[in-house]
Amino acid sequence: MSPSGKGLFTGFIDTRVPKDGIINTAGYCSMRTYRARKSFKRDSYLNWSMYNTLVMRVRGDGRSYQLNIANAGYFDQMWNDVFNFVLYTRGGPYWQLSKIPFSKFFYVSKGRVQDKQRPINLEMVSHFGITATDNSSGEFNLEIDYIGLEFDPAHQETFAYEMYKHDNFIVGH
Amino acid sequence: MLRPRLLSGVLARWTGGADRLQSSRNFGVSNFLLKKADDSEQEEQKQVVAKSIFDVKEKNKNSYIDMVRKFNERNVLKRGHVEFIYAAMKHMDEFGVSKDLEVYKSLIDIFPKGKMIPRNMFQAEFQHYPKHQQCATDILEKMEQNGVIPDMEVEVMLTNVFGKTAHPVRKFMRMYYWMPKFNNLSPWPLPKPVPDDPFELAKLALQRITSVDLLTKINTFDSKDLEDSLDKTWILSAQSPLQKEILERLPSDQPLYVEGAFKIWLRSKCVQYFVLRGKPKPYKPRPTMDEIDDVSNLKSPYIDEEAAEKTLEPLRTVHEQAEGTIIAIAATGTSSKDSLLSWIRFLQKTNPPLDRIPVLFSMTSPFGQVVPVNDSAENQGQRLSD
Repeated sequence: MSPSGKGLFTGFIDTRVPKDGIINTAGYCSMRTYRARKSFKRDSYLNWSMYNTLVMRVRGDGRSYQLNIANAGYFDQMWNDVFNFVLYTRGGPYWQLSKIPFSKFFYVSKGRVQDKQRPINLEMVSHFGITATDNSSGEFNLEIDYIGLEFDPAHQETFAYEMYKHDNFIVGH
Repeated sequence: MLRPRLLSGVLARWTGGADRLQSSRNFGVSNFLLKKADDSEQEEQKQVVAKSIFDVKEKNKNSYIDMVRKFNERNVLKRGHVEFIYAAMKHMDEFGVSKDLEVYKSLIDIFPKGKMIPRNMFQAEFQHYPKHQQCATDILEKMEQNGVIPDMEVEVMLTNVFGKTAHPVRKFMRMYYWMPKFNNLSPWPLPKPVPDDPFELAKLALQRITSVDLLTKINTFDSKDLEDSLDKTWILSAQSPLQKEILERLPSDQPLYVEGAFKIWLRSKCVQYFVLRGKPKPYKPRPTMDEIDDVSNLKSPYIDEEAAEKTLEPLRTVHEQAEGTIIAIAATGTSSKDSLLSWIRFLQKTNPPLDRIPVLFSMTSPFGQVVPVNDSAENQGQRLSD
């Protein structure tokens, strides 16, 4: 908790790679929400289909943070389906209100942006998370007042990225 | 750059340098490493291990590209080029060239052209020359990590080396599609690369912090102009006319606090800044349910002044926050208490109310974690904030 009583996501990122010959890059810190559950610990989904914008009131340190909305599917290839976008923070003592429409989130699996893009399925949101993954070593702290959802009727975009038809056998699904 | 490597390699075998090639054929050691010392390369005679090729005195872009050029020239048959490229990539950060596109292109240029292009669908499917393709993919991965956007020349080079169905080319396509999309997304754009000079950095930082109020003015002071200051350093102070007005209305019995140092990151550089904060403006107490329900003595806030005071209050400005009212923000060269004292003295010239309101230095802050400051740069031998 921060001194002003808000949530604080803080830590230290070290980009020194451990010399074990296997790891190539290092330095990230991530946190995410618990999975929504039904009775008897059955996994469930959050339904955000009535909203089209993510709203966050934060006070950062100038670093960029990655927002992850996980759409974990049923089959194992889809367990790591995540939609990402960046939260840029201004830094400084002033609070900032960031509104990010869901149409801007792009399809990622295990940290790699996928070739075949699709818009997020808001009815089956399994987790929401924030990752501090700036490439510079040092302290990071992100003070969060609230994370909310909003329906903005003026925002008509369904998906910000082109969903091209690809050549066969070239693109990963 | 397409140079016909194969042909020149064949010529070398039949024309000259027979001794060199003889020994290299027997022991399988790279020709490059066995070459005797040339005119001015006496030092390299002692070094036989590949690792110490990069132990140069001057480490900059020119010497790096020189290394690569020497490899290309001496090693016509490109023996061990994959190992050389991996070693070169490891030393890129030392030479300070990891954000330079030309350097990456020179590395990709080492690969022989035309030799590794698949000629049938089996070769295309099964990653023809997998080690080399992985090496090229690793070059592109390093580019991506450093935020270097490739250009069409890289695609031409990679296609000439591996063919258009190869993994490096596909990775290039992905980079060329996605990286420009993410390049300029930030609402507070920064130059690429960010300046090294602490003064310029601090100016950028203050511009970013105070972008909430577009009328903010950033003034530069120098503590040399004050006689009784210990630290002689630059001081950047940001204040807007709105903040001056707020300051005029503040009562004299509530002190102002100088709090810091807080950190702001600009790409990978950190700047320390300080805040002059007043006590937070208290919210008017909300009427209780009984007061709301009581309709015996209803008064309109538009007509009755008393009722207006109870129910209405002027909109808060962006500087009046829940943790405090921000009067001014500053960054100094030494980030020491003495430089902050000089800052307050400069502020007093432009803000007369500061003469009557006491200013205190605070070790803790409701804004967040504070990096403790030293009394003065002299005492601690502190470096400039960067």
